[in-house]
Amino acid sequence: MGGTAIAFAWALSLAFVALDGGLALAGKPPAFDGASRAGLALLPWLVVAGMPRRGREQPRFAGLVPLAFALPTVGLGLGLDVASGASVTGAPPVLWFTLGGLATLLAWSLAAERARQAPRAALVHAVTWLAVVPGFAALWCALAWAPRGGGGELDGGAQWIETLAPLASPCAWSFHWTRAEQFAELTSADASRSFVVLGVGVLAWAQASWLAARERGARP
Amino acid sequence: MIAALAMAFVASIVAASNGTEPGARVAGDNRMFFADVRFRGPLDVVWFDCGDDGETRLAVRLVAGEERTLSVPLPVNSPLGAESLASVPLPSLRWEPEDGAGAAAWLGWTADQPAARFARFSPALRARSRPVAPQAAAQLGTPEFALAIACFLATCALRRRPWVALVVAGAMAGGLFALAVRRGPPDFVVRVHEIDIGVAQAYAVETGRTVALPSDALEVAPVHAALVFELERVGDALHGRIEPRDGAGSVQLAGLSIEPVVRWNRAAPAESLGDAWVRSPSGRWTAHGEWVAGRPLGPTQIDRPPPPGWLVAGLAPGRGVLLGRLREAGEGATFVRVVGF
Repeated sequence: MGGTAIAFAWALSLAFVALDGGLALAGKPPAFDGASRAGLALLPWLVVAGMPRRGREQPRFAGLVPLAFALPTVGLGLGLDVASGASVTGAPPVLWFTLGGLATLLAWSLAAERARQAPRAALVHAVTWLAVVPGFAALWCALAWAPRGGGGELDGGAQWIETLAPLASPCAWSFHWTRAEQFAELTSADASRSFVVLGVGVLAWAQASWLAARERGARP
Repeated sequence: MIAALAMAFVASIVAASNGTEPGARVAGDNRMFFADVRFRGPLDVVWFDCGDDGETRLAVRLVAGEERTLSVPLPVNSPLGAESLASVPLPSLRWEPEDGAGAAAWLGWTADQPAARFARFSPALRARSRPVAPQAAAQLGTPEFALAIACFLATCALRRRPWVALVVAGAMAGGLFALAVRRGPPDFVVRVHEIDIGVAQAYAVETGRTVALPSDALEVAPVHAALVFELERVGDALHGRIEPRDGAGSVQLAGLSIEPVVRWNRAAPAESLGDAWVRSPSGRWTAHGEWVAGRPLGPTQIDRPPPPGWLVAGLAPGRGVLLGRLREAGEGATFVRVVGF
């Protein structure tokens, strides 16, 4: 994973957590009032962790690096959530969402790292990541979230997107706890969605591992 | 590049989808009823357990042999108000020290409930929109910010040894969590003095996540939230604060206390206002900026901001209105809303 992507994700992650404090110092109203700081801190890492990688030799277990960079700001965000009144294990179940998000981040990162080892696996992973992580989230925003915000009705395809995107794309999934009005109403039942999003990440990892192993086995 | 664009897109949507303006809500049912209790010392603290509705903790502090009869506020739900209190069971009692001669005994629900006094107010005055105090969230401090940067630099240095980096980052994340969790949310309170000069009635509303014990009524949103009344006795009076039992969450409290009517007129303000807005009986709004004590209301100023939306909401047409912002400090804001101005 490139240094630029890491720096960019870390800066955005810390900015999400720190912005309201800076606005308060300036006497301005908060921008993320009531949203989960842990969720906001995790969001940039959920996007970049599975980003396709290529090239140079990397150390073993390089897939752990995004998780190591994400942990401090996510821990900071979780602390601010709890200090603001969120219950660790009650409602909203911020701890379960945070653990689910970190596990999903790790799964996508391991998938990207494994796919890097073989060109064909890298290509398939790149397409998968583009379609599932930013692609599904963008479709969800354009076809479901924006029309809902405008008070419009969704047709059949958009309803499918509205249902499936938060179950597949970690970006769309995290929207449920990075928005104030939805975070306050999250329940433990909502936390079970974390397992589905994590499952999609694990599938991407399994696919990359299988393709990379098969490709390396086929080499003379 | 794709990732950067995706992140920028997601960040802009997140920023756009999080609201920043406090809103208004309608007046709700009363959640504070009084019961008469006889206390006999020695007593230090008495707990009134109202089950799912919450509890009252009263530091009564009576010496041996001292007796008092007090009207104690309790956070009970009585769907039909004071009239149906007879059907609400009295809370269970316990006290400290348990092993002394001290005791507390119920005398029953207070006959003249303050909420009933408030219920006799003009319906239009009672039903004024309530402000929703901004969500009080704990904010990042300088030590956490500095430690987060140190974490980033340490992880960069250990990047070639992922397992070590992970362990160190995990430990630092634990430290950041422990630092951040100690930052309590700021106690932001919005106060409004509601006055109707025509019917000569007035009361004060204090809204926030925690509020001081009001004298007359308490509105809670959501209405069934469990509450804790932390009170202490000073002579025969009770003082203290009210807060949600299970953490702040999204609970909003509004304490209502009846006040004497203050006459406001254009010759001089009853108190200095940082901003004043006036609506004529025909419905025309004008902003007048600062209104200093001892001076008449100034001319219309076109460059002043409009009044907050929640302060304007639900005002009956056809009557003159004065809206004012008394003061705006870090811990809260105070407004005045005068109908019949």
